[in-house]
Amino acid sequence: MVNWVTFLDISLSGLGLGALYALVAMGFSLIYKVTGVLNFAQGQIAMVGAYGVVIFGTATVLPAAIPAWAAVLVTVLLGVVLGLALERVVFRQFIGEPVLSVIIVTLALGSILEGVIFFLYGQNAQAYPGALTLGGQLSLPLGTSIQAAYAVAVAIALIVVAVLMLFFRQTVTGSILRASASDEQAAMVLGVSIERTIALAWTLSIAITALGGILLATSSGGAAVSIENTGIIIFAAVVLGGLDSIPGAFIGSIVVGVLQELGSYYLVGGTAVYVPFTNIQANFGAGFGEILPLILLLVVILVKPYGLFGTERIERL
Amino acid sequence: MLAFAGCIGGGSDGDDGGGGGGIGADSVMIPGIYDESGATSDVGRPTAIGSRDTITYINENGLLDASIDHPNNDYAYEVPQAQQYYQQYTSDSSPPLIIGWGTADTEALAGTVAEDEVVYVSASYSANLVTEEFPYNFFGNLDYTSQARAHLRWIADNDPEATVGFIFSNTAFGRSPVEGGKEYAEELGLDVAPDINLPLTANSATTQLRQARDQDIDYLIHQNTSAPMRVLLEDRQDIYPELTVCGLTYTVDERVVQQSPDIFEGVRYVNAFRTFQGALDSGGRGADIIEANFEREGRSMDDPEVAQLNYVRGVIHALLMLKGIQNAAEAGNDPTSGPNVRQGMFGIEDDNMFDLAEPFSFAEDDRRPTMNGRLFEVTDGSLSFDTTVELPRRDSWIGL
Repeated sequence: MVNWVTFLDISLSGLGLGALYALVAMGFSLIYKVTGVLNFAQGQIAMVGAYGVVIFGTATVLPAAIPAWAAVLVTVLLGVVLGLALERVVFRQFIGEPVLSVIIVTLALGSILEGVIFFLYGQNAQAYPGALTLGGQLSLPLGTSIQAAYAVAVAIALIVVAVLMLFFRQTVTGSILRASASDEQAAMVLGVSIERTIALAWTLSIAITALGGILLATSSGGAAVSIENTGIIIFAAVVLGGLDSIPGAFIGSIVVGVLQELGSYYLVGGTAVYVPFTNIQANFGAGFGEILPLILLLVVILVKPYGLFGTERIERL
Repeated sequence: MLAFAGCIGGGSDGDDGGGGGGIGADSVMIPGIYDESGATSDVGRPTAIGSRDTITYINENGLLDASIDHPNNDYAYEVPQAQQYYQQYTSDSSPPLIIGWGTADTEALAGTVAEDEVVYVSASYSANLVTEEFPYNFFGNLDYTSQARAHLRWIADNDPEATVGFIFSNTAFGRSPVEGGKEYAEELGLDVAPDINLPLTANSATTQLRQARDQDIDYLIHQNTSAPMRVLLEDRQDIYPELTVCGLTYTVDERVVQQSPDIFEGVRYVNAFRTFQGALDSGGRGADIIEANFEREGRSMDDPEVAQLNYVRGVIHALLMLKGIQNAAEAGNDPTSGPNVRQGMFGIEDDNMFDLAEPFSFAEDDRRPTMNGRLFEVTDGSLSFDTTVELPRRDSWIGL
């Protein structure tokens, strides 16, 4: 017999986890939507964001620490600067080049960012300043609750997705971004600066991803290299939601988070449910929770190759 | 790298080449294969530093008649890299002993070192490594399963009605203590809950803690590294604060405890050797070595990146090597030969490694160094020694 409060609690945890993934996933989708680049450095960018707060908020590398809130702000701003620098120094050189070249550059970028963190901290997890460790639970109706860190993640992810949707649909700059994403050549003919739109996309993407990395670290007590694995998880989320859909990335991430949590509880170990009308426990073994979203991904790709909300492209031959 | 194995003064003893306690060689090559940048480098690096520092101490203070030549490499926790370094070290010369590191690489090389007759001292405490199948593997701690047994013994003595559970990463390292640990828990009359999985790369442990809570687990025995331990403890505060987490050797060290004292409060820990401060407080020769190392290398005693129990682990590896070679030489055997150093390891009897550890003894038919577990509890940001649990030395536990 399923305990519904437990079920709701786990679903809420999944919602929170999904919201954490969503920020990183939306950063990924944003870049793909505007530039067509699959950024395989997304996990490493999130990791750098997570460690950025450690670099500025603790005196582990720099001689003195700044307040925790300022460390978050500086890290996100540095994400903006990194986005601008990457576009100017690296990605601008690849405009018009095959997408595969840019993908390889993102792989190299990921290795470089990983190397910087390993150089500074090795593989050591680093605790966050006390002000950023959000303990406690938020009580909700029906006797359920959600961890404070997850509640914050849900709120911030919702704000980011709403702001991005408004930005793309209601502002001139957003329209320009959509136009250049839809047809780069046509946008250029109309006088759109492709360089500027790409710079804006990278800037927004890296800042949002860095924020996602920070929230991931906040929810787990500190920055750790395991955050870079998020880069793989969010790939499932964005493919599920549709590669070029920001709301799709958000919803895909939530689905991945909820499935991961429900699968880990109800299909693994001693809490696995019993197959109806039998005495057989549906225990699929360790790690099945992480596999479950990928199984759904496979099904979705078979049924809807462009994901749940992705743009279906029809090309004339 | 070349090591010169010369003849040994004194009475000759066949192929072993002599006696009289001298080494009769200019240097003995003892390579090191460490993880200083890979997945376990958070604990591997201070361990490597401890070994290297102590080998320098041995050379500078003439603890052996010959100097130790210690070429070493960072294999970044990549098994093929470890195998490549092993080939590199053994292709041109025959080191008697190698100081290695992790479970995956130690187990991958265990058959080869037995074939090549190279003593392999590593930080993998898998009970499997002290079976007859792998006669050249040695380590300096309780085996993983007995670490869990020490926790279980304490739980049974203090809370006999308790329910225990195992949480671990689904790897050879993670699974190592589970089967034997559960058997012993049942023997002690404890209730044993189904296993819980926590990956090495976990960023969340809420589901695992709900599983523990819903299965009424009172004590969760955790085999993992310190990063997932931190994740588990961070979520424990919110989901299941009543739970007592009992960590095995790699889950806790002074660095993580000092970084996050609140979430580590009350965690129980087991080891067969002292913490860093405990080693210094022992006042023994091991403390002198550590103090001399830190002074020579300009290290800070207040920096838990190095000044932590994993440094002590590295010192012990170097001391095991030292004693194996010393014993071989004192027995009149050529200590540049792996089989002789292996015999020398069996000369280690009731030896507390210069007051750094529980007394170690190695025997041909039982290479478990000790059955004593030192239990600690984290209080106010430090590891406080609680008690020592003496487990029975059962033959049936070898390899389990």
